[in-house]
Amino acid sequence: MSVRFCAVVVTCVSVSQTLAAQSRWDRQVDARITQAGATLQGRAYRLAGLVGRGTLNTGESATFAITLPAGAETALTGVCDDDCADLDLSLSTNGYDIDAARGGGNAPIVRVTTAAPTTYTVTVRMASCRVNPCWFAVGVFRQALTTRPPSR
Amino acid sequence: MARQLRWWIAAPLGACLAIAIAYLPPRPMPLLGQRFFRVFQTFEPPTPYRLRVQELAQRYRITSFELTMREYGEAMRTELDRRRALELPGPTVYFAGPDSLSDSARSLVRALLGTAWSQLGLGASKISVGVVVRVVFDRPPGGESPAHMPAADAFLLPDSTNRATCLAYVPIIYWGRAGVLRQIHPAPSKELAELLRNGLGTCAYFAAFGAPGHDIGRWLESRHYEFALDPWGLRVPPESTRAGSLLDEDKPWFWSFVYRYQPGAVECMAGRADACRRTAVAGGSRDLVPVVSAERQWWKPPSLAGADRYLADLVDDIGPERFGRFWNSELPVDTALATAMRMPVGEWTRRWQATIVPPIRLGPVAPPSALVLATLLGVAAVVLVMLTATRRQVR
Repeated sequence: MSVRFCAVVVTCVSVSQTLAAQSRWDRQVDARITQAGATLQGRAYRLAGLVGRGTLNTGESATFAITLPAGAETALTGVCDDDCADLDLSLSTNGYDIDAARGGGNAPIVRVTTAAPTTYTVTVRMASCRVNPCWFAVGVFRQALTTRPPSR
Repeated sequence: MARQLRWWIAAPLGACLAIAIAYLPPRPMPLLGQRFFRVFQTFEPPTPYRLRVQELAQRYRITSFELTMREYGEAMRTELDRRRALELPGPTVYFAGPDSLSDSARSLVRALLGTAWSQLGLGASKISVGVVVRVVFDRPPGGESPAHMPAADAFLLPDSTNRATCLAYVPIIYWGRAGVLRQIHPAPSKELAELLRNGLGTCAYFAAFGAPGHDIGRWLESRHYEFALDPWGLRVPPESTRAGSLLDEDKPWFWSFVYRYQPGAVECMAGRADACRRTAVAGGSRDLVPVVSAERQWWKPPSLAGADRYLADLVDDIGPERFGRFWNSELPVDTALATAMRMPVGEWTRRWQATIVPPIRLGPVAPPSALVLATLLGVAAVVLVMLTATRRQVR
């Protein structure tokens, strides 16, 4: 009981410290991720984590690797702070683009359904940032598997 | 032709040639005048070996400075993060060097930097600024600058490893002289406030406007941010910049220093707008380093007279909002500048340059004093010939 209580306290303290150390722009990005989660929840997607986050100047890009399990439909969404006007996102494997969202504003979404566990490269590019650098994050949302009634 | 007559023809021609060599451009100053300032002419161009050694030494100094500043940056990290999270305006201050500075002196430095920050209209910024202040009271043995650090303001700009922090290094060097910070309870002084304000230098631009756009950033980086060394809102009149650049036309060394500038800069001083544009937008060195130094080398003048305050005066002229659009623009430098200035770059630069250095005259024009002297010498020669001719005797 006491060990569990201590663990909860330690977790709460560390989470609050992390939140407290966040800048205004980090908080804007977090709010956008939450907003995207609320939008995608209507389509049975749930936030599975962040592929990456950081800062980019206009014209710069960052890449992250992500391994997706087989079966589930996955959506990746890029978000950025209030100074960001345009963010591009693309998903590729073995050099081939699987899906890409470019020039469509500051909340790009790409989707993929994997037949087998595959490692993808996520490329995020800051197409337009009014005051460099702009904070960004890429969230992974997985569609919850719908359980069908067993057929007889 | 008689031998004597040939002599009389050759002598005035020779005299005219001597006068022409002595007085006509490209030398803007008579040879006799130059002799008095031989002290500035005695520096021979360095040999290739010496240039290579100097280049290596410079690289070493830059790397050493970068390393030291990164260590200071690590020491300031917690405070930088805290200030950013709490959106506290103002720079994070770190005192380097010996701990002989009194607490009140430290508080004064912090207060003056905070005041400078608010005077520049800066609030909580995306790019945080850390200021490393090093006060040196006594001259180190051997006369070297402390720990091979620069003797003037220097900056470690944000880069790919740390995009959101700009570090400024502000040395305050007394070297045995009396100074405000030597006192136990120092009072604020105008000089110290200006020194600390200018110490924010290039970092002030990053704090106010973020990192520059791609082309603008490359242009500034290639020129080692020489146009963005002074923060805007300068209370220093252009005349003092003129004197600081040794370009006071009332001083006898004026022309010597004018011709130390590159030809484009000299043309710009003469009011040629095209040369001003070329010099202003030209790319610089390919040696790109994240370190910017405001150290002056009087034998190596900047690309334009008063270049340190070029962008500072531009901010004051067009306002921070329009300047911010230029700074973050993705347009080519020339177009972005012209859009911000709302006039051709050459024209704005020509007008700005005229506030720093009164326009000079270039071209094959002898100075009036030389013309008068040459005319007098010519008249004297003609009179002498006439007198000789009147006394000529035919044998």
